[in-house]
Amino acid sequence: MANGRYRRRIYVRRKVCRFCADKQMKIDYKDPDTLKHFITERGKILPRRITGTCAKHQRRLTTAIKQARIMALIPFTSGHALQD
Amino acid sequence: MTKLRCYETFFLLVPGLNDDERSSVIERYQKIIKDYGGQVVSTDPWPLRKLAYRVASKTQGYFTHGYYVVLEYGSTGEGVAELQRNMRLDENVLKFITIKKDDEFAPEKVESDQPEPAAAQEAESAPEEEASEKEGE
Repeated sequence: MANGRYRRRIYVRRKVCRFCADKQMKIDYKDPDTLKHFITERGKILPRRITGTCAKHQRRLTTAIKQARIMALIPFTSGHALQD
Repeated sequence: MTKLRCYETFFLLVPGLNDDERSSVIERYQKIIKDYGGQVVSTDPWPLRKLAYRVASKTQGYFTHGYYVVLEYGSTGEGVAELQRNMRLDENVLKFITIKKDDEFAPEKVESDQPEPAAAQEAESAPEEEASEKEGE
C-alpha cells in the first residue's frame, strides 16, 4: 500500500492559455460560441485550473461572460435556460 | 468641446417589430448620438435570435427571441447618458449595455469588427481595449 503512493505518477499536461496561443482569438461578450467553452453545463464560469487560461485573460473572460449573461446571450444558470 | 470617446452599445429589441420599425428605432438612436456631436462608426443589426433565458418586458409579457443590434460610435459622455435614458424609456428595447472601447476616438483608426466576431480573424491588428465600463440591465 505504502509503495503505491510513490508509484502513482500524476501527469499534468501543461495547459496553455488559448488566448495567448492564438492571438487572433478575441474575448468578446457578443460571441457566446467562444464563451461557451469556458462555462459549465450549469452555466458557471470554469476556473483557470481547469481551462488553463492565464490570469490576464481569465479576468477579461469573467467580465465578458458576465456581460453576455446580462444580455441574455448565455444563461445565468441552466435552470433558467430555454430548452431548444 | 468635450472629448469624444469610442463606445459600443449593444441592445436587444422585441421580436414583434418588422424591418421598417426596427430600422426607424435604430435611426432614432443614431440621431441622438449625432445630435450630441457624436459620430456613428458602424451599425450591425443581427438576425432574430433565440435568447438564453426568458426576458420579461414591462408591458408585453415574456420574450424568448429578440433582435440584437451593435452600435459603434464616438460620443461625449452626455451623448451616452442621453442614449441610455432614451433606451430605458423605450418599450421596444429589452436590454442594453454600453461598453467604452477606447478613451480616444479617431474614426479612421477604428476598423470595425463588422464581419461577425467569430469570423473576424485576419483583419484586426489594432489593440482593442477591453471592456472597462459595464452598465445596463
